[in-house]
Amino acid sequence: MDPNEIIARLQLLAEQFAGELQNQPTEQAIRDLQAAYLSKKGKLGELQQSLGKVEPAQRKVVGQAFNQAKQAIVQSVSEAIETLVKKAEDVYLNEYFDVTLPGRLPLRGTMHPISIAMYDIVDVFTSMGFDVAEGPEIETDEFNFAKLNFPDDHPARDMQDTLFIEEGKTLLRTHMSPVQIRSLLDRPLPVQVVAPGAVYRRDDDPTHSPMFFQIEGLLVDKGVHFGHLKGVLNTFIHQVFGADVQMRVRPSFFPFTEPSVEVDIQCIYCKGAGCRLCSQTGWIEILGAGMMDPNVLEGVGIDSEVYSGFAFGLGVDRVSMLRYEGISSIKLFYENDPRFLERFWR
Amino acid sequence: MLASYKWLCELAGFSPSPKELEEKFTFSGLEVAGVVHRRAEFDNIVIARVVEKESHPDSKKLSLVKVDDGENIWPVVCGASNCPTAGGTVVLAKEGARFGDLVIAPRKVGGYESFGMLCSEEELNLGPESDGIIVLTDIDVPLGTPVVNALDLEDWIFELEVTPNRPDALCHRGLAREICLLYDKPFLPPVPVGAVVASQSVADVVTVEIESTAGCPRYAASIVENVTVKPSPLALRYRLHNLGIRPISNLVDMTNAILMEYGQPLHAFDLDKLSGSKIIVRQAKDGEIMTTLDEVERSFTSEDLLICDADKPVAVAGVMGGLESEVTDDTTRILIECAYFNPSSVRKTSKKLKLSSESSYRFERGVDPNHEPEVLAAANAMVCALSGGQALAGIVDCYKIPIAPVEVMFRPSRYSRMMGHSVPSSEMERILEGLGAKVTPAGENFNVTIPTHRPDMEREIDLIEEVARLTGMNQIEAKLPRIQCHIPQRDNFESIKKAKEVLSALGLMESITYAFVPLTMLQTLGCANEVIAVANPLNAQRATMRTTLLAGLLENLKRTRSRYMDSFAQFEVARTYHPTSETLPCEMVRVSVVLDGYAKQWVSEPERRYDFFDAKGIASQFCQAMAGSAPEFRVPENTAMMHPGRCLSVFLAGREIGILGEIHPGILKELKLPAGAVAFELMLNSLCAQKQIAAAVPLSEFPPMSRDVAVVADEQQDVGPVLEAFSVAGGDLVTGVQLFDVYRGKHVAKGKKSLAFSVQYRSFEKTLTDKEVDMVHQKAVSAICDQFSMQLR
Repeated sequence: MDPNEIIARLQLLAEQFAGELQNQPTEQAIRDLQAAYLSKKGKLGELQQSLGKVEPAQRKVVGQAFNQAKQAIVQSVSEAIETLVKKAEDVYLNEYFDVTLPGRLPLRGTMHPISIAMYDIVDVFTSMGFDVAEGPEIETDEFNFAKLNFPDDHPARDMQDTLFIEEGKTLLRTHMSPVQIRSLLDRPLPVQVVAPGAVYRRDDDPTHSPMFFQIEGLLVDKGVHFGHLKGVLNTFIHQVFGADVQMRVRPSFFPFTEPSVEVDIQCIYCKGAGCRLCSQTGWIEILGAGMMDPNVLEGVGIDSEVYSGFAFGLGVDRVSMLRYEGISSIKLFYENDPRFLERFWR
Repeated sequence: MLASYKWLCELAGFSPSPKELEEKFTFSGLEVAGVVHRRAEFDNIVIARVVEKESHPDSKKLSLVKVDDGENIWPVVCGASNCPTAGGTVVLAKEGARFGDLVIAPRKVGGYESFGMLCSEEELNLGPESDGIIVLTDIDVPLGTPVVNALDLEDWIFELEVTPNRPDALCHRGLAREICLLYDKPFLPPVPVGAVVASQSVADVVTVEIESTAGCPRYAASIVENVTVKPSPLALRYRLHNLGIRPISNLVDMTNAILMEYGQPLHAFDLDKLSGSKIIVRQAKDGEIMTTLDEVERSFTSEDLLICDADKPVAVAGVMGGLESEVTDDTTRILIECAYFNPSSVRKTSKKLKLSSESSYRFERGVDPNHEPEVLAAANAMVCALSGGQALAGIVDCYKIPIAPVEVMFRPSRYSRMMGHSVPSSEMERILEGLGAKVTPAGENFNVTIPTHRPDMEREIDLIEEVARLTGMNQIEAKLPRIQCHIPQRDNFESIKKAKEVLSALGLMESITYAFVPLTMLQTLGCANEVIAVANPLNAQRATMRTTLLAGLLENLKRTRSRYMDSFAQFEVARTYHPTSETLPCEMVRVSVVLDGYAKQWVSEPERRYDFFDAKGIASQFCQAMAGSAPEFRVPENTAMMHPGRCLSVFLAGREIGILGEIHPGILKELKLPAGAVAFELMLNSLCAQKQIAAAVPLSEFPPMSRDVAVVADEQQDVGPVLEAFSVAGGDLVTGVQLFDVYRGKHVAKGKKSLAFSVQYRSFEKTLTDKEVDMVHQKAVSAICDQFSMQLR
């Protein structure tokens, strides 16, 4: 067979391939095209079968022509694929994408703002070495009042409007103080506990909820004095409200502490300048405290000449309202509207 | 307690700055809730004289007057019936004077120009009401003098929050003593004199018998004759009005003035209405009846203490007088009672009668049992001055067992130990003496005789408090205490906290609901068999202690739906309350979850509602996190509040810990909620009791292989057991089985369903070949098909 004719046909196939390669949309199509020319039964393969009919002296030349053509095809295929990949990359990098759609939020729950405040406060005290104590919410009159130095028929009882289960016998605890008594009875001295929990009063108006949360704490040991109470409360205030927040005490009265004080912090919104929140005084009352009354200690069998102690109590709802702006009413806490709850996250 | 600054200054003998006094009160334990300065309201109001008065031509009510304010003559139209004629002294509000929102300006009244207003006591807020305008007699000031100066009206009214331990601060003398102490001045209050004394003595006219000395340790009385009942002078009425007390008549006003000055409640009887010249203090007979001053007929028991004459009760001791013996306009002889009643007895009666008065308020807190003669002398002087009467000589005073002052040893060293602060002995002595105590040094300590006007002071610690509050507690240095290293104790606190953290991490919102719920809600939920009721609930909505947390969560769900939200996923960790035979009920910490409406989704994802399997999945995850092992679910015997076919009991380590399911549609219907809400409620303590520590498992390094298979099963075939059986049938190589499709329809017979599973195989020893996996898989599939009568599809 005429080697020139073979070479001419080979060239024709090469051109034909180059033409077809231009229009291939995918890498697979290019590879299929390559196979259509280069596989055993492909177009070049078929033509190559005629190589046997060429004069042996000229086979080398024709063979070389085949090799060159094949290499050229392989080369142009890889180039074409590279171009295609590059083009796809360009498209991917330049295509329109709406970044303003909302993020796909992983499901997250929330903790109640009262719980958050409660855990934040308790954490401060436990870090200082206090334990945590609990007690019954339905209490005896004895633990809620009598053991706390509230005599029967004493006007001090009017300070806390009580919800009774059985009048004179059992009631919904009006404060966390009965847990102080239980801790002193149950635990070895020295005792250092905070008692967080729900308390109840017979009050229901825009600023009072019949159920609310308190944390009380106490430390009873030898040599505990009022300066220690101030030190612990100061630390608590700095940790929870900020290191620059000032505190002050005002003498007050609680039956179970003597002396008793109310503790104010500098208004955290106006920093003491006076605003609506602090009724222009620059100060906000946040807790009550005092040295444990000797009657209370003696009532649980502790020698008040040897041991002394302090106690304090604060409203968690109130701390939560101070920490989170916009809680306009204590009632919001107990309505549990999802739109309210979802704002808070510990 | 309202206090008049001006009165306090009179009694203290000096005038501190009101602003500073407010601060000092607050920092010594008498919190000032507010101060009202009475001055600016009197601006542009002056003394004037009527120079001409004519009747209005068209109106009978109006007068046309001309008044002289010392500078000008002003035409004023006056509507008062007591408008004086020329020469009468009146109070003129001129242009610019303010009465609330009303500002005085020249205007036409009844067609005539009026340049101001002639004022009444009510308009100037000098008293609660008035018949006409103020017409002053006996006043000698130049015309045009501001009324505030002419009538000495400027005052600061302090509103003090007096704590229950400070009965001494419930009167002006007590507060003045405190002021003198705060300013380091001697307390030397004026001694009232001036009683006109008749020759006859009180003891000749009346006798006092105390039958109940426990209820009434002391009963003293004086008598004033020939009294004329009339209104008190303006100054006294103004003073009482400022203190929130309604002026009534000179005699009643006197008792109130003495109450506000000495803290001693008095009662004035019309002596002519007391029969038998006798006062008997005794316990009431059961069922005895008397009508009190407020015209309410009241019935008494033997617990109540009554003041009686020879025939009948005339007053409820320390609480309120009787109507019959009341002082009236015709009264000419009065008996003034000045007694000391037992605080607890007064309180019991006052509480029982639901009758609280200024008098009972003070007796409950404790008045001074040793100042009665002094108070009666002041009362006599005041009555004589106000009513022109004569006091009989002496008093009757029945005081068999005197209440002696308490003596206490005060150790300055104990003060320092308690307060972490030291105060010089001399300063301590000054403070205690300033309180009225007698202080005698005894070595390093003091013997302190506590005055009986301070019933709250009876122990050394009470004296320590007094010294602390009066030296100022803000100067005591803050120190951190030493806390001894110890075994930590935290009760349930940590597990409750963890439960809240886990459930909020699982996508739920924590809620806190009231522990008291409506009984009807518990009845609807079938949880009202054994409940604890609140004896004095605020209302029926808050009357019964919850026995399930679902009561509160379903209320939340209702509220959420009523506010147009259709996605609800809340939990609560709190207590339920159950009656026991002990004094205290049983309180259980429970964890409850309610899910309803749409689960949260992204923009393009299909809507999905919470269902049974969300509750089941969350319960599983929760138990796993809390107890370290997956719970077991069993078909319950009693489905209680749940849909009977969509309910499971939750078990952990063989112990039942709660229930899970779709809330019974009947309950939801009763609550006007749509069907479909799912819930679970678990006992936290049972759950935490089963706690296991997590352990790691070996990890295979070889690749997994998976095989899918579809089988046809009966419609009623539960899939749970099939999934479990796969692991058994496939042996150790099975690492997971998923149900990925359930199909009913074409090519599947009626009453059947097609279940498609994907099973993962993996070896710990080698890379499995297709052949090996096929063999195990086929064996497992045919075993499963045999076991559950299913056919390969």
